[in-house]
Amino acid sequence: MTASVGARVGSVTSPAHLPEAPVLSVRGLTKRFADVVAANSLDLDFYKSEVHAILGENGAGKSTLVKMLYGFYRPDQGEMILSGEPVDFRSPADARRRGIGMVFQNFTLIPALTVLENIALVTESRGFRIDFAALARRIRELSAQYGLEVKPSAYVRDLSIGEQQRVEILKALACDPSILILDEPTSVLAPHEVESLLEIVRRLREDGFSVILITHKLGEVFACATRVSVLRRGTLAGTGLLKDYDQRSLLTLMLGERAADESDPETRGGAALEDEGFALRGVSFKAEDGRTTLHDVSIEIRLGEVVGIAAVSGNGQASLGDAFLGTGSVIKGSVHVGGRDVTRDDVESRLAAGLAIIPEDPIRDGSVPEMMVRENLNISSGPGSSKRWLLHPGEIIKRALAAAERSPFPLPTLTRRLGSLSGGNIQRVVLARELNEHCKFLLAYYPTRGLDLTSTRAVRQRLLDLKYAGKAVLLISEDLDELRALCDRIVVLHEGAIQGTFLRAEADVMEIGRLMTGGRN
Amino acid sequence: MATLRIAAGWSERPPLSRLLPAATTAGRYTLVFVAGVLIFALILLADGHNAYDALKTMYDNSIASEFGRQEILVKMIPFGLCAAATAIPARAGLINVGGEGQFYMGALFASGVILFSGLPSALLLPAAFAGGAVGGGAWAGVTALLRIKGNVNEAISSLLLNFVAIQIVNYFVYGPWRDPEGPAWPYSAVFPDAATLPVIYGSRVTAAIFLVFGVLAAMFIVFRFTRVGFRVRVVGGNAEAAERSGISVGKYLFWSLAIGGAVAGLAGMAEVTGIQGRLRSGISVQYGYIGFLASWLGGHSPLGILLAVALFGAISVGGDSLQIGAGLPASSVNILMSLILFGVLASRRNVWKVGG
Repeated sequence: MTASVGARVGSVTSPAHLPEAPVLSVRGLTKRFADVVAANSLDLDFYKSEVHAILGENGAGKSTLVKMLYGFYRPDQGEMILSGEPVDFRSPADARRRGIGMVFQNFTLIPALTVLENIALVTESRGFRIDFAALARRIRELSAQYGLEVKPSAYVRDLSIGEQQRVEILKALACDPSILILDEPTSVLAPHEVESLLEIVRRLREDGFSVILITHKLGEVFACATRVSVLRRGTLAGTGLLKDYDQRSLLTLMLGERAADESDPETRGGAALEDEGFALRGVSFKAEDGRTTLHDVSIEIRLGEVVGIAAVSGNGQASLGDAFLGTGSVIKGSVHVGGRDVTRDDVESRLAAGLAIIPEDPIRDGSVPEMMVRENLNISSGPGSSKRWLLHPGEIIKRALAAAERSPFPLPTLTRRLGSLSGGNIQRVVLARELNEHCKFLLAYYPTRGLDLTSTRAVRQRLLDLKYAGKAVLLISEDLDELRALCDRIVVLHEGAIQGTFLRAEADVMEIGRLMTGGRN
Repeated sequence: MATLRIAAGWSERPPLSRLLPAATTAGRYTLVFVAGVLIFALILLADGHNAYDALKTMYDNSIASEFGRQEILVKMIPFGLCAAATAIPARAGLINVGGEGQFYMGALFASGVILFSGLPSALLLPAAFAGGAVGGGAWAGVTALLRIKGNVNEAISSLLLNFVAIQIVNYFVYGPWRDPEGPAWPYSAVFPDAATLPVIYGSRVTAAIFLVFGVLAAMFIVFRFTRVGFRVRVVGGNAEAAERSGISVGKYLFWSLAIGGAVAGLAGMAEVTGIQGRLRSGISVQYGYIGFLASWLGGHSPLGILLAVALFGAISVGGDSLQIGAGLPASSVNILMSLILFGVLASRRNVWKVGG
């Protein structure tokens, strides 16, 4: 068992010249959902010792494609040929048995079990006794071989997101696959974790794996892929060796001619007004579990300014929103919105003052899955919501239409039940609701996380438009490039305390990264 | 492109595609009902009874006879009000299993007002009405406060408080309120005529049946056409999102439970003033629990509840006739009720998330 992975080492050194047959081919693969063609007659080949990047915008059909490869969906039409023989997977277990492994975007680990037990769940599905000792040995070998450092005896609930992802990869590798699918693996990672993941991907390729990497980030494609396929609205826009493409040609394939010409928005800076927008003064904050998550934090966002927070997740940034909104306990200091001390005010009056928050987790904190999109656009009691006792049937529709018109990107059908939409679409609805015309002080958590390039640009442009219109924006992002492009100032937060503030001109990525991870001089 | 999608968002769907889901839902429920009756018949057969005779007895004595139909309406009063007592908090995401206790407390408060307030007779019924609502509402309020202040699960506390409420009523009817002139039973004194609910002429159905229709109609209007109803639904849909949208979640949780309890309390009031004419122990025949099941069966919607309590009323009246006609215990129809409930809960379709 343990030798099989090692046996692949050194079989191919130069992946660019491949005379051999593909390990997996798909021909005419098609999948429809109701009246939407999510994947339209796709022809693709996957080779050994390659990283094959699948590029595309949200809804381009990337997830649908790999879910078919992994036996999660059955294609409506078309065939899959694995090592020369046609296959028809009835379930992911089928696909795993035939050597296909997958790491999902949303992890499927059980927090109450250890790393070892989680992996045993998929590898030891037969027989009565589980040989934990042998499995642990194997995990340690795999860990060492690919730099997937993680302790087999650790409980998953104690692991960071990056470590959990490594466990997911180990889990997939433990099933001894020849093809490994990674579904937007970097979307959940902090900047410094991305580089080590890409290194792991390169090592897997060198060891003979056929890696399928789903992404919409061009940087990652150029960092580790050898072959690339671009999907657009369910059809294959292009496929080939990466060396035959450059950034521009890939963008054009993804977005079409016109869209590829637009560059990312960037701030013009320096326009901050004297007036204070919103601020924390010496705030310490206690989270629900009793931990103090903010220590004596003072931060001021002036009108006409975008301030960014750079922090590794779990360093207190989640509590900033609670402190401003009034949904937790500020134990020291004061909170100001629009120049007024609102420390003792309730949520409703803070919203009425013009505060808007794009929550950290839009699905958990900002949406009502059982309600329609148009009702979700109306749940706020903030400014602009009518106070009348009777709810005029047309009012919800009217306000929803107004929100849709204002929205920087197209919204899903307004009568759809929100819970039936994908995560990216739910996020769009929440964004459209919060980015309303009454918003004066905006606190935005990861507003572009999981959005495709077109929507990301639109959201970034909207944040800058707010700034130019004299509003105050606090942007919390894990993407340092985004912070540097949009913010006038960047504040670094580590373990709930401010480590430093950088003006845009003097923002040094290395220095920020060092402070984010708690490095001392 | 964008405007096209938006336009599609609010244009009314054609009538046929609106009726179709309703028709399939009705068809599915009919199937569930038929299957439930068949399994019930098999159980009766296995127990050595003539299933056909038993079912025919049930049918003849419930919906097929004038007297039976009246009895169904009589049963629909406590069933319907207790179902609303479950449905109103359910819209706010709360599970109220305390209808039984709230029913008893409503009966207790209404009886207290009638027996000891000394009000003029014209005011007795309105005062009893208020007493019933306050009794049931306050009892549910205890559960609500435990939930909001102490984060105690409302399903558990409301269920446990049922047994407390029953014992409190027992204390009064065995103790201080026991009728000194009456027989040696745990009964209070008989209420004066002025404190007896009028009946619809020539029948046993009291005016409280209008209360059922009124409460269900009010539910429909509040949840469909008012801001308060909309907010309760937001709280029930995602309390975290509601809180962050400036809705005082605690306030809505408290009042939806308290109002639910008040409605169950009205059922208790209707029972003592309409049926019993006095307070005694054991006035509820599981009305709170049957109402709870009916609310779930009806999907917590007013129309669904009306259909569910009519069905449960018919089964229950039919069950009473089994005891006399077929020598089966009346409670044997509980099997049929639970079969139907399980069938409906299991047949609710899961909505599949569309990927891509």
